[in-house]
Order: sequence, then C-alpha cells, then structure tokens
Amino acid sequence: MKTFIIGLGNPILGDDGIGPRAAAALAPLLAHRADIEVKELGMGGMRLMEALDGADRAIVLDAMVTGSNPPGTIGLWPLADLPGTKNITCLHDTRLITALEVGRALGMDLPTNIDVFGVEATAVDTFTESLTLPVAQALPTLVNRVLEALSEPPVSLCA
Amino acid sequence: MKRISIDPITRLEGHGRIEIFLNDEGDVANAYLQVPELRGFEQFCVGRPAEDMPVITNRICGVCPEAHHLAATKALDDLFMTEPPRPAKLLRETLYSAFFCTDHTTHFYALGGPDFIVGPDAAPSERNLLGVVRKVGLDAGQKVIATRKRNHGIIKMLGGRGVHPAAGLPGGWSKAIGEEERLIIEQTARENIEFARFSLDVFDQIVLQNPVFSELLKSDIYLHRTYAMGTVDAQNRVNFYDGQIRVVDPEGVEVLKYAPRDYQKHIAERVESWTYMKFPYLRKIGWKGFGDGEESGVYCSSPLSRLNVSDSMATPLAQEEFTKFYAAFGGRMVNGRQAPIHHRLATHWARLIELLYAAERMLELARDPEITSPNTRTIPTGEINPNGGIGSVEAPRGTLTHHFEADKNGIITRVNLLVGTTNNNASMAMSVRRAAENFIKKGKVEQGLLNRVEMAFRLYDPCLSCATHNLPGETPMLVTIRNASGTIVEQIRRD
Repeated sequence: MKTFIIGLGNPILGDDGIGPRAAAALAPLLAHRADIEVKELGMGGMRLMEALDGADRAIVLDAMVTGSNPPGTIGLWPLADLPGTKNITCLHDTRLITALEVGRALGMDLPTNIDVFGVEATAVDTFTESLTLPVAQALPTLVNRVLEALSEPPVSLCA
Repeated sequence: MKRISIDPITRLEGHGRIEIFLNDEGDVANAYLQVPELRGFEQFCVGRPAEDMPVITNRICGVCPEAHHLAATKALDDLFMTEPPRPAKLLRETLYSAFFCTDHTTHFYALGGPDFIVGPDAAPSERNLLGVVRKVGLDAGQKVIATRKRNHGIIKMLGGRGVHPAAGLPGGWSKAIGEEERLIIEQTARENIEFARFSLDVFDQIVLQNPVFSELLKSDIYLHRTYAMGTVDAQNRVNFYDGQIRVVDPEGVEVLKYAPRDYQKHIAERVESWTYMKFPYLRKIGWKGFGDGEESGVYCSSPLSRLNVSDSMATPLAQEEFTKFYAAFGGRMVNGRQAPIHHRLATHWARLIELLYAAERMLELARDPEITSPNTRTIPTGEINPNGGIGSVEAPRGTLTHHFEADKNGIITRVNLLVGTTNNNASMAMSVRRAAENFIKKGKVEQGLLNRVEMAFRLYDPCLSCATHNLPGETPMLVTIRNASGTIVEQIRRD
C-alpha cells in the first residue's frame, strides 16, 4: 500500500505556500515509512495526476480561498466532494478530476482514495516567503492531522 | 451603458474576468480581459544575490518555469559579462526544446483541442482533454501522456530538478552529460518527431478536412492585422533560445530588428486605469488604442507571429509544414516573403508546426558532437555590467525578457520582466471584443458567447501566473449583465 503526500502551491507566494511547507515539515517525520512518499508540486491538473501514478492512496495539501471561513481553517474532503482548493485545477490544462479520468482511461495506476486538506488562506497574490499569522498557526495542526490520518503520533511544532 | 462581466465562479480564486460594456443601443462598446495580477515580485527580488534569480523567477509560475529559468540565466550571462561556452548553450537549448514539446503538446490537446477536435459548440462536459481523447482515441491519449513523461524526464535530467530546473548559472550550465544521457535525448527527440507528425495528421484529418472547422479556422472572427514579433536566427528563421527580435508590419515587411538588450528602445507599455495589466506597444508606431492596422502600435507575440516574422523554419520537416501552412491561406508573397497570416485561430496550427520544429531541433542538438563536452561553464570574473543584464527567450506564449540591475556586489537593485503573455494583452482584448461583437446585438446575448470568448483568449495560450489567467473549457463561468447603474439585469451561468 503506497501513499503519496503532495504539498501543492507556490512557496514564495505567501499563504499559497502552506501545502509545500507542510510537505517539507512532514518529509523528515515520515522518512521511516517506506510506504509513504512526500512530494511538492506547483500545480494540479495533469501534473498532479501524473505525480499520483503508482499510489494506492493520496493526501493532497493545498491553500483555499473561499472567503467564507476564518483564515487558517482546515478542511478535509474526499476528492469527489471537494468544493475546490486553490491549485487543485491547473488552469493551463484541466481540473484534477478530468485528468484522473483521462489517466484511468489510459490504464494508469492511479489511487481511488484521494483526500484533500485545504487551509483557508488570505494573502495569495503577493510574493513573499512569509505566511500570514493565522495560516502559520494552522501549519502544526495540519501536519498533525496528516500524521493522524497516517496513524502516526502527533508532534510538537512551533507555529 | 450596460456592463457584462464573465467570471469563473469564485471557487477558483483570483482568476480573470471578462468585462463587456454595451452602449445605449445595446451593442458592444468595449471589452477586455481584466486580471488580478500577482504583486510584489520586484520587491521580493531586490536585495537578493543576482545568481539566485534563475531559481526564484522559475517559481513565478508553475506553467513555464523553464522559460523563466533560461531567460534569467541569460540575463545573468549579460549581468556578469560572461559568454557561456558552446556546450552549455547546447544543453540549455536541449532542455528548452524538451519544454516546448511538453508545453505545446499540452496546449493543443487540453486547451486548443476542445475547440477544434471536440468543437466549439459541444457540451461543456465534453470540451476538455477527456473529450479530445474520446474523439481521437485512447492511443492518442497515451501518446500525449508519454510525450509529457519522456520530456519531463529530459528536463529533470538536464535541469537537475523535475519541475523547477536549477542548472542555469551565469556563464554556463552546472551539469554536463555523457554518452548514455545523449542517447536518451536522441531517442526522445526521435519519438517527439513522430508524435509531432502524428499531431499534425490529427489536425489535418479532424480540422482541415472538416469543412465546418476549416471554415472556422479561416474565418475573420479573430482576424487582426497587427504587427508581429518573434526571435529569429541569423537567417531569419524561428529560434526559441537565442537570436534577434524581429518585428514585421501587417504586410510582412520588416520594421524592426534588434538585440534583446535594446527592448526598451522599441517597446513601451501603456497603462489603463481599469486594470493592473500593462499593454506593450511599438514605440516607433505609438499607442493608438485597441486597434489593428499599420497605424496601431499593437503587436502580437505568439506561435503564429513567430512564423509570420520568419522567412523559413530551420529544420526540414517543419519547413514542409510551414510551406503548407502559408499555402493554405493563399500563399500571397510580399517582397519575396510570405505575407503574414492574421487569422488568429491559425495559432493552433502554428503551435503544432513549432512542436515539430522543437522536436527536430532537439535531434540536431543531441547529434552535435560538442553536447557531451564537459566544458559547460565560463567562470565570471566578478565584474558587474553597469548597464544591467538582459536576457530573452521565446516562451511558448511569446517573447519573454528578464532585465536585472545589481550593485557592485551582485545584489539585485531592480528587476523588470516583460513576460510572453503581456505582449498579447492588447491583442487578447481585441479578440475578446470581436467575439462579443459577434454574439451580442442590440442587448441580446446569443448562445455561444462564452465559448467564443474563451476561444478568443485561449488561442494566445495566456499563462496562468506570469501575467494573466486562463479559463479552460470546463471552467464554470458566470456572465452578469448590468445596466448603467450597476443593477444586474441578466445572468448566464455555466457550471
């Protein structure tokens, strides 16, 4: 059973970097798990679908900007119920669900179990390596929720 | 005056908006693509070591990191006043050819394909890559995925990383290759050539031999007689990696040819109050508004314009297709060279010809005896160019220029980027307006407006993060029609 953890987003675009940052924090914590690969990716769509090739299960971490949740709110959805996160669709090619349909039609080895964590973000259009405070504070919680989903013990991380 | 705005529904945050203004008679008065641009990039870069720029700028955008990486690396060559050895240039151009193969493939099958292969009036649920695969066949889908995969492999092998290459250095390239890697590149290039020819056959059978699509391709719905821009080599042939910038007028007569370093002498940028976007235009002609013709400084920088500024293609199979392409539009000659094609939907066809060129060029590069040379770097002396460093490549969507200034310690003090998509801002606005004019009459919005508006700007392959945002065929959209006081009088929604 192979699980891929994918941190989606741009690490120099403010809160958009929450996915890659969580992935970077998770990688050393999961280094002992031969059944888990942690990856970072700038965009969804085709590229994400291709990155999932070979996984039985996937957990995707991304920013979301719904405007209807307090910043830092963490949501978890199975892909089929996903209301939409910031990078899950690549506007240069296609949405992830379509990309997965294409991949499956072509016989690729793609997971059926895909969960997406979205973190409500605010500042995603100005270049900076900093997260806003509520999103930075959500980072340890996000990391621990992923660890929990993988039956790993929680860790203590500074926000 | 009525105002119509077409928004992707907001679950995709921060994307472009089409604004259409109607006059008192209910006809289109103006239309444009309004984009919330990413901000603060220059500020982000100022104070950082210049040599970091190739790995910072390639984070601007997830779509074309390779283009930014190479433009920035070339700007550093200039900034540090170093000439890379030839093997380094070969490696850079090989990576770039692989990138063009993936990018043009993706655009044709995932974005252009839905318009032509599936059709502009097909159900939205079919106007996507899956619909293309269903129509062309699973075998074609497998070829698309395989093309992406093998070229991503080359990019990773040469660039050191899969998504954001890191091998570009001022004066060269950090990674030489051996014979084993060269053979992989050569094999990949051969497969790319086969795939490009296959794609041109698909285009021929499904588009050119279909009277409806063929007529659409040659229709005047998106016909704009503007100036064209592109990079050419010493023989005035298309080159993606290096050369001079050539500009031809709507009749195909050369009006400018300059080194990328001189871009500011020739290009000015118009600022409009209603958008953060800038509208570049030819300084020599001047800004005369969103119009075409010789009097307007609006130009286009795209696969179509690159072919229009070139006298020929540098590789044999692409040259055959180039000849066919111009013949299909009448083959008119002006001053001994083919007259430009101004039917903007032909950009999709031009993109496939470029795909074939990129594949053939990759094979030439793989066979160059110097490509396996370990001599991939000229070490800079530490001297900084007081005039700054300027580097330019042809991004898949247009000419991309990076301009850096640094202090004597090589710390960035100023950054200016003129990205591929930005060149086409005025052209895209004109095409969106043309679509709107065709589908809105006397205040009545006809069926097909959304698709035609999408087709208008999609043909330019605008880049998501660099300068603007794209709306693939399946993106939900909302058209809101407002009267002069801003009250919504009608909404058209596509989920």
